[in-house]
This record gives sequence, structure tokens and C-alpha cells, in this order.
Amino acid sequence: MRRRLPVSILLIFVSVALYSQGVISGVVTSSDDSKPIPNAHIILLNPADKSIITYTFSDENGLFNLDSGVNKENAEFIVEVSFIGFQKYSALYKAIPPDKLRIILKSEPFEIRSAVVKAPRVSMRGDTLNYMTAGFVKEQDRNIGEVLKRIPGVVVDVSGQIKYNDKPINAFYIDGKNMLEGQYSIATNNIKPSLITMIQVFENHQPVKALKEHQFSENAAINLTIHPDARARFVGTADIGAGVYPAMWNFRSTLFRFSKTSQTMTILKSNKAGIDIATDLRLHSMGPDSQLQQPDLSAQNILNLAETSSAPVKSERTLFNTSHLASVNLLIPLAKDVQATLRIGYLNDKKTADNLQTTSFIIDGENDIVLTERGSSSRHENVPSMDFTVTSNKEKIYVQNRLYGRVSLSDVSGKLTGINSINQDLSQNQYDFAEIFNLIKPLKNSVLRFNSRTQYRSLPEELNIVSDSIRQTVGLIQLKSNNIVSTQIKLGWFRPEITAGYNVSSQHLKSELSDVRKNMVLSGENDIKLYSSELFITPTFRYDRDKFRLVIRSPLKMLGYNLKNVRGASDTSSLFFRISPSMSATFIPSGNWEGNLSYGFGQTTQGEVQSMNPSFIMNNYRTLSEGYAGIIESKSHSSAVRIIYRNALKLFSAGFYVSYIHRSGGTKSAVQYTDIFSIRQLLPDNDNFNKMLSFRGNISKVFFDSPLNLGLSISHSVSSGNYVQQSKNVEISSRTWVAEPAVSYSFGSAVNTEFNLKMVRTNRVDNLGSQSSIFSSGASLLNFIRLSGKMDVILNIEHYLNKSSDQTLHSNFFADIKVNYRAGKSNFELSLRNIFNNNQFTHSVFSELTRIEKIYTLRPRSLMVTYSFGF
Amino acid sequence: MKRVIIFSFFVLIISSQSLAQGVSKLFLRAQYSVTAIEYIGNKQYNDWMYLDLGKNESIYYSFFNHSRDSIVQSQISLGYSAYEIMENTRNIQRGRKDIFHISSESKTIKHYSVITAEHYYKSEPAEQIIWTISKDTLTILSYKCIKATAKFKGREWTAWFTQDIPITAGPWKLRGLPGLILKAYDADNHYTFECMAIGGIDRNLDMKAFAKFREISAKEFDMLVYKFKTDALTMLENKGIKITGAKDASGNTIDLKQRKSQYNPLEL
Repeated sequence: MRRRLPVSILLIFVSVALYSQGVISGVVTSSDDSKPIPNAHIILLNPADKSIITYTFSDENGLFNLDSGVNKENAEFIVEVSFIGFQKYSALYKAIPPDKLRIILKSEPFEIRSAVVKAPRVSMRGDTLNYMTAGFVKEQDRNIGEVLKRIPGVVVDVSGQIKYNDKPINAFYIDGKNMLEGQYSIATNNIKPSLITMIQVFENHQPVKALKEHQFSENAAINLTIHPDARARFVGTADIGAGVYPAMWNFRSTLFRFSKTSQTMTILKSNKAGIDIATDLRLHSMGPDSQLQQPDLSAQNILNLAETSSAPVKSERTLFNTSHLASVNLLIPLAKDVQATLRIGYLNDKKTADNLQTTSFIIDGENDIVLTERGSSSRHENVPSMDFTVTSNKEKIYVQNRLYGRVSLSDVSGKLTGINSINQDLSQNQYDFAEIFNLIKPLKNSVLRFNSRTQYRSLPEELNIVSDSIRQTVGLIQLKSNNIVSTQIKLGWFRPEITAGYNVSSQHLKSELSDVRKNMVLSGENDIKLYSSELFITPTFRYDRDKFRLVIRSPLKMLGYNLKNVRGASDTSSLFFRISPSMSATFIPSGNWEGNLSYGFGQTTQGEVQSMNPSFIMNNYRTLSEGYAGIIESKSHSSAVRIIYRNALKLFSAGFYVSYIHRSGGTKSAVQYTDIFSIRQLLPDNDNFNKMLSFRGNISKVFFDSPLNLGLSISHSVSSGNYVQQSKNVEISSRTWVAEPAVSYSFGSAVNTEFNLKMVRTNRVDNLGSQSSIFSSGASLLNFIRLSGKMDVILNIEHYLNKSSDQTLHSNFFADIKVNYRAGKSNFELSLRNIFNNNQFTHSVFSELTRIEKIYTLRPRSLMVTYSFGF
Repeated sequence: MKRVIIFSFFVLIISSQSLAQGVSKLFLRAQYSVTAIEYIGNKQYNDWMYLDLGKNESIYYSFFNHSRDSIVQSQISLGYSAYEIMENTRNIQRGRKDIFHISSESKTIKHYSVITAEHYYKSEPAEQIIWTISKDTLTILSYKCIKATAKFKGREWTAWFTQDIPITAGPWKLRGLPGLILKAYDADNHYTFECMAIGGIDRNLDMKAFAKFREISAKEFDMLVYKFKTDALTMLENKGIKITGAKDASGNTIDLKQRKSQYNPLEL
């Protein structure tokens, strides 16, 4: 008894002591199962301002003792108890509770307010910027090309070419391998964002290992890093769509495999839904250093049907088509650092178009000729192509051999109704074959290079004006070979280089125009052969040190021409000596700034046989053209300034560009209008000049802590030139302003919005007293709305405005809606395009001495259901 | 003689391990942008850290290191050689190799790291940090945060925590506040942690992934880290590896000989 008494007294003493010192004790349990909650937060708050007085945590048994530090018996305080996954308990006390508190917390799902955790958008290591795809992808993105457009500094133009800081990329890699060379649109248009974890930008990338220590590159390259789960196995998708307009379909199937050693991409597409798939097979330029490593595929068609050109709206609104495409791409390793790539493509494309065109031939503002015609045309193209490359890319030697072949067979038929009713058929075929060889061998302090490109081109064309029994045939054959050898020596910061080369070309133009039309007697035959050879030596001085780079080169050329007019029995030869110095200086004061100043003086000679025809060629049913049958020279001065600021880690880039080009000499166009027909001639004129001054700026900013992307691109150009029209000298000056703001914002994870606007204003003035201006704008607002975990809606609204100086205003408004439903790996899409069923789009443009207003026929409202799945 | 046994309201029961060995559930992820001046006079390094939280434990690790490791592992499984892997991952940003696993139940912190290609970890008790809470508030990621200060591991820390996320956790070893710490920095601003996003996750923390790490004493661990940070050349040469140059995580060349005098560790 005596022994117990001290214990109980002690307990009472302790409890009294605690009570008088303001200790709050208790236990925290869960209402679900009455189990104690360890680590619950017990906080004492001041009721006046809710500030924290003190706090503690419950132990493993849910028990706590909180020393309030309050001595008064009637002090007020709030006790708050919380733990994740439970509803907060909060109660006001006016005194220290004498008994142990029993706090029972009710379970409640924890709601997160903040943005969904995404991977960090960008990191940098050396010259490599790593952009996590998850940081840039939006729900509505269908392919990796749409994600690429959001990378600061990257611009993807309408043709699909990718530029970084205003320069074309010089390599496009997938998992470090260059399977596609310049044909990368097949990847950017068809690889889904989910397959790519990271987009890498290799700034100042030198794709040739043998040149890494010898030649600095100003161009960047892009590498797509494949998701680990998608490696070394076949990954495929299929989209099957059917709809009504009348009948429409859209089919796409992709099969990829990216493994350690080999890669393959196979794509099959077919649609009758207005989707232009021809861009998938386009071969893009990879920068000036790769010019001789790629075939020259510039279009050289001489005859045309004056058919509809593309309207400045999405092609899906104006394209009436039936298109099929097959593309097989393979990369096979042959040995270490040696690979073979094969790209086979086939396009079968049938397009029809219908438009009403009003062409004003601007004569003097008072006597302009105005022509209104309704035209419809149907073009059917078959384009098979093959590109086979074997590359050995080692540090000790680089060897590449490339075989390229492309055939384009086009049949076009058209009808024009205006003053006359004209039916026409046009056959345009083009055959291109090229063999390209490169060898680069680094030696101890120098590099030896050899490059050879031989290309054959044949363009047989035939235009039949069926209604008037007129026929024009043209056959152009070109065989060109460019060969260079160069050596560069490394002397510390200086790198002098000597390049020598020999280029030859043989061109043959034959044409025949036959039959009589109205009161005009037309005939014309041409048979011209042009042989040219160019021997050149180019000394180049390079200085490359940290923050400053300088390149000065001065090609010295000896050009020889032999022009034979077989029909006219004339044979002239010419020899020219030319020098064309140029300079480029680049300043890099810090990792974020870059400035460049360049100047070049060029002396060129007209060297393409298709502008040398002494007899008329009927280019289209109302244009006859006569070339200048001689070699003529022109000079040009071009200078440019470029200033770029970019902070990749802050996702900000800005660039400012100024360029000025002044050309003189050469030939000028002389146009004579007779009724609706025009006769064009090329005349030599040493007084001829063309000038163009342009200013361009762009800025883009992506914010880390808010889901906001901003972009702005502005440009202003001033150009002037002169022509001869109706035997009068016409000097034209035009100014163009372009502004393109873009904003995208995400409202939580359920809604994101993209707004893009393009505004263009063109003013044109000539010395005959006529002036006119055109303003056009195109705005699009795309809204993605997530309705649930499986369903979302994409609403797209577009508005186009076109206003000319005669106050004619055209306004066009479009809306489309898509509903997506996901079930596992499948996706169902219901899309309704052109909700308001607009059937026409009107647009005006200037083109030298003409103003053209076109009314395009649009695809009507259409409904399509598409089922997609992947594996 | 019976001893007097004093009972008090502060009853401690040492609990047994209630968690199943191996796997536990993580449901919340906080993403921190970390900047650090680890060497005075050098550029600060940046990293992106994930803090994955479960009810009673958390794991704190570098996103960059984790994602690079994932790429390396996938390439190993595909048969890439070590040289090929090194070439393929050369341009991917590296992050810190340190991983912190904190268990509120056992009140321990396990610090995992890779030092000269060897995997080690140490275990230490989770030190109770004595915070002083002020009345200052700040909004971070739409959460109202309250300011707290404390001296911890040799530095004066300021932390901003939110009661709206009632988890006593934070970046690195910073914890012990009645809410998740969203921002913290030392008085010299040499080390800063800032939460950039919070979101739900559903992943299991599989402790088997750490089986390759060897436990050593805290003293030995700290000594290895110090040696590596201040005299990596000697350490590597002792292992038969000759280093002729080094770059930091951002690709900048570093002078290994100056390291000792410049070293500014997180724990002083």
C-alpha cells in the first residue's frame, strides 16, 4: 500500500503538472478501421490569425503529446489534425482539454491542385539540347512533326523542311542513325509522339566524323530518341477511316522497327479525303555544305495549264483527290560505322480542282486588261523513286556513294471557260537519275576531299489545246557533272583551303509548236544544244577561334560555252573569266549570343538552255515566250546581318535578320499583251536592276511555371525591279509586312488552346501611276477539351480575311470538330469538317505585273469515322 | 526489492517493421528544380529531382540520372557494347547519383550513391530538425506556403511548406514540418530547391532494385564521398584509371586539381 501510494501520487502529480503547463494529448485513429494513424500532423493555431503556435506528429500508436506552451486555463486555440488521405479535423478550444483527445479522421481522397508532373522540358550538355517530348507534346498532336514545331528555334515550313535558327538542319537522325538523309518528312509526318522520349538538337553539328576536328559547322542536326519500350521490336499503327461527302476514305498503316543495328520504316497511305500526302516523299535541302551530296530536284517545267495554285488555307479544304503512297525505308549495317540505306517510294496522286479566276494585267492603271475565267483541271501523277546510299563514316575516312532515281509521270486535263471555251491536255514527265560520290580523308594536319555528282534529267512535255487543235511539244535533256577536289590545312586557328573543280554540262532543248489559231499564225521550232564547262579554283581562308570565326573565299572561274542552234545553223562559243569573292564573319560573345555579317559579290552567266529558245514556245494557252539565244552575264551584291539570342534552358529564342540583294545585268522580261494573250521575251539589258531589302525578326518563349507558349515572327521586305511592258519600261516597287503571333495555353490538364495568326500586307507601286495594296490574314483557334479519361473533343475555328485597295473584302469562316474515344490501345474518331458548309474561298495576290483574284471551290461539309489502333 | 516503475503519458512502443519487405506504394510526386554551387568559383549545376511519396516513406532522386540509366539499361538488354552505350548517351544530361530513401516508420534515411563505379549506401537516423515557424506566407504552385527556418547540417535553411499537402517531407533530408516543403534554400543561396510541379503517380517502390548497393558505415561513406569530390584523380588512379580531363554535368571543363579548396558540400 505504501509502495503504491507514491506511484499514484506521482501520476496525479504528473498529470497536474502537464495540465498546468498546457500539454494536449490524444490519439488519432481512422474511422474506417479504428486503427491508429502514425505521423498525423497535430497543429495548434492561433484563432486570431490562424498562425501556427506549435505542432507535433503522432507516433506509431497514433498517440501524441503537444506542449502548447500555454499556461492560462482559458486560453483559446485551434487544434488541427491532418494526414494525407483523410479529412482534416479542426476544432476551437477555449481551454486545455483535461482528458485525452480522441481524434477520429474520416478517409477522403486526396486532390492535387497543381499541374500534372511532366518531365523537365530541356537540359543541355555541351552543344546538345535535350528536349523531353513529354514537356512539349499536346493531346491533339498526331505526329512528332507537330511537337517539333514547338521546340524553340525550330521552324517547320509548309514544305516540311526543318530549320534551326534560320538554317536548314544538316542531318536528321533516329536513335543516332541517319536512315532518311533529306527525306525526313516521312518520319515527322508519321511517327507518333508516344514513340519518342526525347528530341535532341545538336548545335553546330558536323555529321562527317572525319571533319570533326577540321571543319566547323553552323548548322544543327536533330535526333529523335526512341522510347525504350519501342526498341528492337515491330511497332505499328493503323488508321482506317470512312466518311460521307459523297464517299471518302482515309487509310494509313505504319510499321517500324528500330534496333541496335538496323532500322526499317514502312508506310502505306491512301485517302480520298483531301489530305495531301505527297510531302512525305519530298527531299529537303540539308544546307549549303551538302549541296553536292544531294541530287538537284528543282522543278523545271516549261509548259503549264494555268491551273489552280494552292489557296492559303489548309489543303484539306480545297484538295479533291484520290491519293496512294507507299514508302519503304531500310538501314542495314555492313560493318562498324558502315551502313547501307535504301529508300523506295511510290506516289499515285489524282487531284481535281475548280476555280474562278479574275486576272488583271496591270498596264497603266487605266487600260488594264481584265480576264475572268472558270477553270477546272484534273492532274494524275505517278512518281516512283529510289535512293540507295552506302556510307562509311569513320574518323579516319568518310566514303559515300549514292544512287538516286526518280520518275514523275503526270497527265493533266483542263477546261477553261471565259471569253473562249478551251479544253487542254498536258503531259509532263520528268526523269532524274544521279550518281554521287564523296571521299574525305583526314591526314595529320590536313583534310583531303573529293566529290563527284553526275546527274541526268529528261523532261518531255506536250500541251494540246484540243479545242483549237494546237500542239506544243518540248523535250529537254540535261547531263551535268560536278567534280571537286580540295585540301584544307590546319595551322592552329587558321585553316587555309584550296578547292579545285571541273563542271561540265550538256543540255539539249527541242520544241515544236504547230497549227493555226484565230488570226494568229503560230509555229515555232527550236533545236538548241548548249555545252558548258567550268574550271575553277577557290582559295578559302578560315579563322576559327572560340568567339570569332571568319571565312573568306574567292572563287576564280574560267567558263566556256558553246551554243548551237541546229535549226538556225549557228554556233557560238564564249569564254569568260570570273571572280566572286565572299566573306562571312561570326561573333559569339557568349553561349547565348551570336552575330553574323556576310557579304558576297557574284558574277553569273545565264546558263540554262530553256531560256535560250530563239523561236516561240507556248507555255500555256495564252502565253508565248521567246528566250535570249546567247550567253549573258549578271552581277549581284548580297549582304546580310544576323543576330540571334537564345537561352535554351529558359526556352527563349530571338533572332533578327537583315539582308540586301542587288542584281544588275542579265536579262529582263518584256511583255506585250494582245487581247488576252501575252508574248514574253527575254532581252539583254545592262541597265536592268533588281533590289531586295528585307528585315525579319522572330521571338519565342515557353514558360516553365505556367503552361504558356508565346511566339512572334515579323518580317518586312522592300523589293524593286524593272520590266518592259507594252514597250514601256516599268519600274515596280513593292513592300510586304508579315506578322505571325502564336499563343498556346493549357488550363489544367483538361483544356488546352492554341491560337495562330498570320497577317500579310503588300503595297505595290509602279512608275506608270498605278498603285494597289492587299491585306490578308488567317487566324486559327484550336481547342482541346478532355471530357473524361477516355473521351476528348477538338474544336478548330479558322477565319480568313482578304482586302484589296479597291475595298473589296472577302471574309471566310470555318469550323471543324473532332471527338475521340479511347478504348485500350484503340481510338475512335468522329470528325465533322466545314461545319458551316462554306463552298467558296476568295483570295487576291500580286504577281509582278498582274493582280489575280481567285475563287476556290471548297470541299463541302463532310463526316468521317476513323478507327485507329497500335501495337 | 521491486523497482518503482514510472508510467507517464509519453509511452513509447517500439514498433516492429509494419511494411512488407520489398514493395510499397508511392502515390505522389513532387518535382524540384535544384541549383547548387558545389564548388566555389565554379558555375552552379542544375538538376531536376523527383520526390516520390508514399504514406510512410519517400524516395528522392535525380530525374536525369534515372532516365539516363533507363536508356543505358535498355541498350544493355539489346546487346550494345559499353563503348556504344557511352557514345549513344554522351550527350544526355547526367544528374546526381545520390538517392535518398526515408522511412517515417523506422525513422531512418538511407543514402545510396555510386562512387568510382562502386555502389554504396549508408543508413543513418532521421535527425529531428528544430524548425521555427514564422507568419510569412507565399503562394507556390497555387498552394499557400508558410515560412520556417532551421539550422541543419551546418547551414541555415529557409523552407516554405504547405499544410494543404499534409505529408512531413521535402527535398533531400529536409522534413519535419507539418506539410510538404515546396521551396528551400540556404542562407548563402548556394543550394536551392524549388518545386515545379506536383502530381499523382501510381508506382511501387521495389527495394530489390537497391540490392546491388553495399552498406558501409556512415563514416566510411562520407570519407569516400569527400575523397571523390576533392581528389578524384588520385582515387581513380588507385583503381588503375588514368584521367586526362573532366567535364561537369553541363559539359564544362573542370580543373580537378583545384577541387579541394573550392569544395562546398551540402552538409558542412
